[in-house]
Amino acid sequence: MPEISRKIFISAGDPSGDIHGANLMRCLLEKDHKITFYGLGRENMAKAGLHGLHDMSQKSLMWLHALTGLSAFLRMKKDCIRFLRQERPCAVILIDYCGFNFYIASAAKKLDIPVIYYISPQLWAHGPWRVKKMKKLVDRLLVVYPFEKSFYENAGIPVAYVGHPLFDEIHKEGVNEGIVTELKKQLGETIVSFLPGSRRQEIVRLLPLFLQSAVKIHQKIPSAQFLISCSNDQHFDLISGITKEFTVPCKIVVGSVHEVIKASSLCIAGAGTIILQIAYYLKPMIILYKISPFAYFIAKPFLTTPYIGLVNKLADKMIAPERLMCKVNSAWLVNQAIQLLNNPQKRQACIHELSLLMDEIAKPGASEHAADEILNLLGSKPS
Amino acid sequence: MPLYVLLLIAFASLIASAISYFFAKIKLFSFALLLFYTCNTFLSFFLVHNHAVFFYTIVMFLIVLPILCLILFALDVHYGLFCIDTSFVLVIVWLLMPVLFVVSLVSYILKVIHA
Repeated sequence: MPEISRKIFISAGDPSGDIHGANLMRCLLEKDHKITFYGLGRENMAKAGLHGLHDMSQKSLMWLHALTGLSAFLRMKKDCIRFLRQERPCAVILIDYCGFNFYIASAAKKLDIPVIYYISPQLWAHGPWRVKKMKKLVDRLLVVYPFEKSFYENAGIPVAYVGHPLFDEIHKEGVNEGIVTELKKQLGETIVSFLPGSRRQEIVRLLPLFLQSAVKIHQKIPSAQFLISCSNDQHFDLISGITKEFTVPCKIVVGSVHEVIKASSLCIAGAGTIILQIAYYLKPMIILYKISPFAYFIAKPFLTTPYIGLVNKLADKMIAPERLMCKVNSAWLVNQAIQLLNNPQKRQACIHELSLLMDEIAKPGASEHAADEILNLLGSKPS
Repeated sequence: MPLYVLLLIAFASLIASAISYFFAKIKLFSFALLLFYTCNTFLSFFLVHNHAVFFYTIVMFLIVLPILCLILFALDVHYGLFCIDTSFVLVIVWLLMPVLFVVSLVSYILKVIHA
């Protein structure tokens, strides 16, 4: 008797979602080789076996980009809904990217197809009322932070904590010790690294502030050397252009984020998942987020968490200094950086707290756990 | 009631709504907003009622549109109606409110000059 293939629709938009989606697909295929994946993804998911309806590589559905690419967005939505209607997959798996994925979830619910949301958008940090939409649209939510479980459970959403897939990636990739040694040999022992993020706007907002502080840190600690992590080649010219405006010597490293972090004595980063990577290597850090005063005014009533840094939110206390800035305040940043570089007690306290936190959450196996949860759900619903 | 009193109330309610919004005092914000739009509707009527096109443009774009946006946002917050994150409407509202006040102020100044 021929084996019956199970069709699963999977959708991920951004690059990190593509990596986590690809890992999840591999885990699902290991456990059930009859699954065929259709949907939206980038090169990693395509390599893992996705039959893509659209290539998401050049697509961005954030803010103004969403308006300029409205026709492409509508075409993509129409194609996905047509696929769901015609092929009736046994499940829809959505990965983060709620700007688009909520539309897919809505269409799937109308067709009575189970919807599983993997890596929830950070509704607990801003716009918590959207949890009502989530409840309407999702059959099972797989969350990556422990505190998210109670947040969604309180809203009555079936939820499971599976761990963060980032730690799967870190374990898989490992660190190139050769690069770490080379960086230390070139720059010495006191390395301060700047990790402004992977988005252009974040770099433009944060890097000048970082470099302004670097000049002052260098004046007070002349042995300090500076590294800038550039997530991809596209931003190299931008970063290089900004660094030329400042007198402090900086080395720009494209890629090799883990190595940059591991070689550093102190990391200064924007608020994002990068914080977890820094915490994984137990490096003291300072977390910054900079927005315009108008954006702060608009967002302020909806900021429900007292912390902007993930490590502080996870620990529910301030273990790494953080600040949400509306105007440039390099004095605060310089002061914190010097304390973390020169004060061994403060440094050690930060490292100790990070190690306690990482002992709790930095375990690989998130994709595997997520795959188990999905198969459990599918097992109860015959395809 | 003299028009400058209405203008003063409109200004005070604009400030009050901004402060109450920032500190998430929803009831006070709703009251200040109601006062602001009521004052400005009367001001627009008394100041530009003889310019029908100008008056209706103000009413449609600077009064009805933001109020409609706020109603949709409130409904979305309560019932989770839309797939899209509707919080962007607050940007529209907070850009249009000072514009409405400035239009009222300029209309008043022009009326005083011409009187």
